[in-house]
Amino acid sequence: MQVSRTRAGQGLGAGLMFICFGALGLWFGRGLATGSAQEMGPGFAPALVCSGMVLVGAIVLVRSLLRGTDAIEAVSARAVFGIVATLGVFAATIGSLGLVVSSLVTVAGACLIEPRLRWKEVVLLSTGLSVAAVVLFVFVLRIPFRTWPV
Amino acid sequence: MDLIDNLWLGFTVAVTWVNLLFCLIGVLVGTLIGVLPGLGPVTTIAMLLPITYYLEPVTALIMLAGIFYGSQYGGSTTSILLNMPGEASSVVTCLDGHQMAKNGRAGAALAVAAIGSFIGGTVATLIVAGAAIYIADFVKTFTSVEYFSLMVFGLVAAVVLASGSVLNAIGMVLIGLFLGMVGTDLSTGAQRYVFGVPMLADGIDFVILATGMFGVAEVLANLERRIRSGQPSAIRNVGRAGLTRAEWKQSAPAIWRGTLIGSALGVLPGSGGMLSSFASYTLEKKLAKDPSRFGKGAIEGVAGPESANNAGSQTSFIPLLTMGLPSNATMAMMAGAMMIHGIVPSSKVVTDQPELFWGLIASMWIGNVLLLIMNLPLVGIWIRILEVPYRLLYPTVLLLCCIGVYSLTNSPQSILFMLGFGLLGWMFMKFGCEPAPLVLGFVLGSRMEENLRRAMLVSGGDAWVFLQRPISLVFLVCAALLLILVVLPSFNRSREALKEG
Repeated sequence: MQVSRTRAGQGLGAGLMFICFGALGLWFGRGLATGSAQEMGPGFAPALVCSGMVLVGAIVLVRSLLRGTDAIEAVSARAVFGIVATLGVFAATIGSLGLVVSSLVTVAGACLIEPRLRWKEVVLLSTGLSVAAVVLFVFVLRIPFRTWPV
Repeated sequence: MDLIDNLWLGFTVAVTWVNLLFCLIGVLVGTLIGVLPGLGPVTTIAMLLPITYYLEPVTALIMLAGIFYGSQYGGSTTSILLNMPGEASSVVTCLDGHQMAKNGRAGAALAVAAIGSFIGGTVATLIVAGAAIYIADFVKTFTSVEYFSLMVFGLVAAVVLASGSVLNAIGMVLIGLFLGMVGTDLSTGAQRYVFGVPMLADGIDFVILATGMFGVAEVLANLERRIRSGQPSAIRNVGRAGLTRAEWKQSAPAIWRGTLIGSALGVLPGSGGMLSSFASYTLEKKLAKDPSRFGKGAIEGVAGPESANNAGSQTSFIPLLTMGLPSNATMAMMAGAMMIHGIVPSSKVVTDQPELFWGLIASMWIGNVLLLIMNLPLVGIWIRILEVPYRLLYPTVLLLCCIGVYSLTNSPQSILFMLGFGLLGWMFMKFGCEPAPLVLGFVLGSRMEENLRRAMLVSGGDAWVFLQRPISLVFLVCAALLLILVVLPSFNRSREALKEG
């Protein structure tokens, strides 16, 4: 497969990402005392590491602008939103609806991400996994989960 | 003799019903996911980490280790039958293994892969057992100066020997070190980057980070890729499993050479199975009387690399168990599993937790026996499992990650954190950055800081101390040499070649 090289590619993203990470770390760590080399404060190591990130990011950025890097693969909005929604559904339901219902809706939701959807499979998989989850976590591992909605 | 006493102790731990059961579960799950495309050992271990919390530490490690080396057996099966490496380290096996399958010798290829892996695994396990005490004793003489330099060397080596861009990997290590510093500072008690979130006060939970980066992010990346491609078809006709006399004669020396290469290279940080199998393949091709047979179904091209990668995967436990230095992402997961149980991976594990250490070693050999016995008779089942479509797999992975994380924290917020790390990990992949170096940095972060701090305190703020102590100097010089190596064009070319398989 031929991947085109471009200036606005992976290297640009990675470089900016490292710089952002480092800069954010330095900014939010500015209140931490660095201390001296002999007696390091809590801010010493973070400052060191974050400066390193900015430096690495700058090199990656410049290199990518000079030489170009592989293009960033297209983002599938369906996959990203699907994952966010699936995990969101689990987080929202597990506390109140209990393990059985929460597993059912989470798995059913996850199945919707796949474009080649088969309804019979969705029903079987979500029921099967819901039962398996209860058996594994509640009966075998004896974790005090809420199993049913109250 | 000490070694025999210790191995005896190990077997008394490993040969209990519970530990045998979890060893079996581990190698079965390992083979399964080695066979399944789109689900690797690191993802699986991340997914199962929360469950191990409810097991005894030694049982947990026995199972996780089983998953790791089991996946190498499984990975070779898909390489041979499908020309598709189920696992990164079996890329090389595709070259001749699949050709053998096309020539109707799939059974022989599978058999030699299993036997080679077994011999490699057995020898390497013995090496681990024999070498561990001496290395651990040596490491125990280290002060924080040497420890710090050792960790620097470990991280540099992991970065240089791993595939992909070195600069990106360094950046990822730094992000990992940084994330490892979030929470309460151990020596001053100051809160760092907590932002008033109670969950962050004790630092970022390793399980949440790991399930996010390797579970959720992997699923997301796979889903994106899947929306574009289809599924390959398997060679069903396995043929006779036995090897002919000529094939035996060709593969026996290759197995021994592969075992030696794998055992040696496995110890190096960052390499794992991939470098071992690649090096073994290259050597076999160089030594062969007729190198043109390679790529057309030469049995040495299967026997050598398969022995090498399994030997390497056993010896890659050495740095973790004797020095507390995880050498690749899987070992970082093992370190995480130990930390869940309050065991800090270091040279003290061998002496303070002998049951854990020797039990794990003994179980690795038992696991290899189980794999050898099971692999061939079960090939039919593995082939059928290959047909499990990814659309049934990923909801399972997601649900296991969710329930696992929730079971540890009992807070829906942790699921959102996991989602956050998942999206972060996915973004890293988009930008061509592997998340593996990040986990290494994360695991080592706080220990590196502590050792740096102590070393500087004792030396009175003089950084030269790292160059004045001989052992520390050696580590730092080696690290520097590795970094120089990367700049050399010829080395870079072979790294690229390795990356492309």
